[in-house]
Amino acid sequence: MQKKESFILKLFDSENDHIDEFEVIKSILSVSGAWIVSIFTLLSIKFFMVDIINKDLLELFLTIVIYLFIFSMILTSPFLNMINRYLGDKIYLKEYDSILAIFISSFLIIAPISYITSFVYVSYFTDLSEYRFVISQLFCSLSILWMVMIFITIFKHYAIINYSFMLGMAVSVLLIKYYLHTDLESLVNGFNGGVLLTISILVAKLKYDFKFTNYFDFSFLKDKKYYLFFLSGLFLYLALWTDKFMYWASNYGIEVEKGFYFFPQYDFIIFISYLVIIPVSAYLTVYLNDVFNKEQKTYFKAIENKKSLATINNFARNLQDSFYRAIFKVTLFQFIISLLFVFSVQYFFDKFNINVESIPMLRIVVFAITIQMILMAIIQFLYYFDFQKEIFFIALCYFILNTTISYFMVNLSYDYVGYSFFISALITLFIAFIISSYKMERINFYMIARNEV
Amino acid sequence: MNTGAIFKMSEKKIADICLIVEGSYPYIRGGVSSWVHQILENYSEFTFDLIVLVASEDTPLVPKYELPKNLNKIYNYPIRRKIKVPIFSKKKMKNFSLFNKFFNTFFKNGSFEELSEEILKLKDKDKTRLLEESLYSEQLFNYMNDFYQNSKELKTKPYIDFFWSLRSIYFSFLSVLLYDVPKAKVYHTIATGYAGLFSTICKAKYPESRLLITEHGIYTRERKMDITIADWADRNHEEYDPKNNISLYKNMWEDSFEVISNTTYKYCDEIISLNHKNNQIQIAESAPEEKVYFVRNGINLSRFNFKERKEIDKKNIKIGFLGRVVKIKDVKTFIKAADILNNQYENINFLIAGPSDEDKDYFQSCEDLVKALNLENNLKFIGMVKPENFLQEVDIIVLTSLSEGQPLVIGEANACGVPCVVTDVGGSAEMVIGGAEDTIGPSGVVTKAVNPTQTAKGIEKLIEDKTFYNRCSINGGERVNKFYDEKTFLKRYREIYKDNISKSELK
Repeated sequence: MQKKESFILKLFDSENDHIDEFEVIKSILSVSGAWIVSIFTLLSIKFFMVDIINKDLLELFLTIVIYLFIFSMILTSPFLNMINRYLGDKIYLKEYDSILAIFISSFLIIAPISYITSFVYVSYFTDLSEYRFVISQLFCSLSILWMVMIFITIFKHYAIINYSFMLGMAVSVLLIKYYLHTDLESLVNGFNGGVLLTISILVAKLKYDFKFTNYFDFSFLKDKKYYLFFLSGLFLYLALWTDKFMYWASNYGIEVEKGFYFFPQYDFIIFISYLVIIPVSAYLTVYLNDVFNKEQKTYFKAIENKKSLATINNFARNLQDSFYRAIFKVTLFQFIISLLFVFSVQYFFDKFNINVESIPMLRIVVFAITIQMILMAIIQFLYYFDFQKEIFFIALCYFILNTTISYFMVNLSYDYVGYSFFISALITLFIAFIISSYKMERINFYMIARNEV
Repeated sequence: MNTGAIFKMSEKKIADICLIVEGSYPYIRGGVSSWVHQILENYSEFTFDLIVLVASEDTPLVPKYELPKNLNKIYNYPIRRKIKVPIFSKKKMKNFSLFNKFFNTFFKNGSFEELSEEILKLKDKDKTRLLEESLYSEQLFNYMNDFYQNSKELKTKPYIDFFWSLRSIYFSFLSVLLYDVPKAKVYHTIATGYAGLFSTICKAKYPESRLLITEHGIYTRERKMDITIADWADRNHEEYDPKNNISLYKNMWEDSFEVISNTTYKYCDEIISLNHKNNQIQIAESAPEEKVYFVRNGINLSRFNFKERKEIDKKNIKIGFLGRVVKIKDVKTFIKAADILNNQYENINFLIAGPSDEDKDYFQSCEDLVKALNLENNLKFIGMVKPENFLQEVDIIVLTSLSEGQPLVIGEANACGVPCVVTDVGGSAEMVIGGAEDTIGPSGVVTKAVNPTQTAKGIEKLIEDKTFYNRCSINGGERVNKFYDEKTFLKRYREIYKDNISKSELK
């Protein structure tokens, strides 16, 4: 088959890191499939069920679902970051028998925490206490869904995630459209039905792949080294959301329902702007798993296989080149996509009847997310070398910067909305780049000499 | 800084004698430990401190001996310390000049005096910092890399071996040198090596004190042996030549231990070994001739009953092995020799007596070998025994060690009239066939190490040749009475201690 030539895809080709375009498209779909399906599900509910669901009810339902999405991720991400690393360690040690025990233990931690948190919030901080059970059930389901995905993703079974999401979300839409659209409880239950189906399929996959030897494994709670993963995950997610929370609490924020705040223009822009990073995220995942992983293995094998320092240095240089090349390509590719998006955005705004005044805000948010994408790429590389303290430091910097700058900018005029996100992401990127370059330049020292005796 | 656990048994300020041992008394049983215990028990007129250089901070510190009352304090100093990786790496070392001197001393023939002078000036917090920086500073890492790359010999060799060898060497040496030195009138190290290294810093700190060394084996040779044991002990080699089997990095270890050995000899006031042969080796390895002499170890003869052995009853042959089941005793050679003899004699049994908990993996591999050779019915591991009882029950004692000082078991076997088959290592041969003024005649057979065929032939000779067997039994009794009586040994060391305490200017 003759290969199509396109400028963007040519970026993927070079002497050292060949990734073909089919692989990229496949990876975009496989790695980001779940998100694409979720976004389309919510959009389809928003735009195609206006006729059968009361507008205010639909608005409230979507508000609740988006809130649950965001806060379930924030709540679970510290645990998931910790569990993800623990799973990685177990896989490295080939201790596959403990996978299900870790799953059950993680479930026993995350399920009650998420249920209780949601229950308390809905009961005491909103006027929706009559729905506290169903909302908490959905919150708990979503938290468990993120958790199960960690277990499936680590084994790169992207296809099962995508199929289960497609099936689950389709069931959600169908349940809502044909049976459960009369009141809020039905809507939430309808959506939760699809989520539970997705979870069931993924759990069945896990059960099929692994055997039980123990029922519980809480060791990751005992080992202090995993706490840093918890904190990195916590601050990183808080950093991503802190400016949004501050805008919700500012004069720009509106209370859709008691306890549910929004800044609709900004939130919608953030929501659609995240679409621009899907292709590069997929590219990065493929690059890390394929090209960089090979370079890294070659480097470590050179050390293990008792090569001379000159040979090790050569492989270290290849690894450094690979890192810089990846960051350069991520930057270039992301900027091209972002620029294309920004310049074609007028068309979409006209299409969806969105206020033209929001275009400057969208542009700065798109660039903020572009910068954040490069920052996340660097963090991914740092994870590959287990630079935990550095990741924690970067996450903390990002959180502090975004909080501080947003605090001072949140009351400025509408024209400045999104700038605090952009500035904090840019400064953090600068810090992260300095740190990662410093580490990469001294990779031998960090990988050889800083091992504990 | 962490100086390891210290058992305080008495608050007396300054001990008469500070014994320095490496990985033995009071936590591990064996020849050297028994020797130290013998010294402590029999000189109640002197007070002792004990410095034990244990392998690591995880080493279990459970005394296997009842500690005598004249032992003031025990200082447990781990050779391998645990230093946590610091949050931030230090680019430059605070004490790089000191480290440079340290490096020069051990790897570039520099002066130990300059190094010890600087070490003794260090405050506790500087010591901790120096240890941390010696592992995790970038400046040092680059320095090591330069050392590697500037050496024609090294730069094409496996880097990771170089890195870990060099780091293990210098870190363990530095750890030992930085421990606190207790004050004593006489320091007495029981080997060169780490104990010798620490004794030199003791002497450097208190030059008015006296420093003695009693070498049971020759440390540098034993280390060479240790380094090659991993390869040799598990193979069926008939010939043994460690020189050809030591790699470049193993040589780094040897060279640096040689530096320690030479430095210890230089700082010692008196250099003692267990036999004439070892004195010659010490002199060849730089010990000043005027400081060198030997004192044979002694056996408490009242514990053993001499019984003249006439011949072996072929209907019930009992061959004994008495010692720890560890690699250096090369138990596998004994098992392989047992296999050879098992095919020759119908009624032959082999008994391995001694602790097997020191190296559990090795013990397991020995048990596996016994099973593989189908010797389960004829060869038994019987654990700890009382030597005086065990020796009455066996016809021959076999010692297949790769390295020895002056093995007590030979003396004890001689004292009971049991002929021996021993490997030609350390002072073993001298205890069986004599040497210097000892012209009594053989009390057994001497074979090469790691040679099951020769060991089997030695045993066979004793079984078959009644006259020789009987002669060996008589000679053994005579030898131990004349040269290895504990009373002579204790008298000699009492004189040595008295003399050195009086010469010491530390009060």
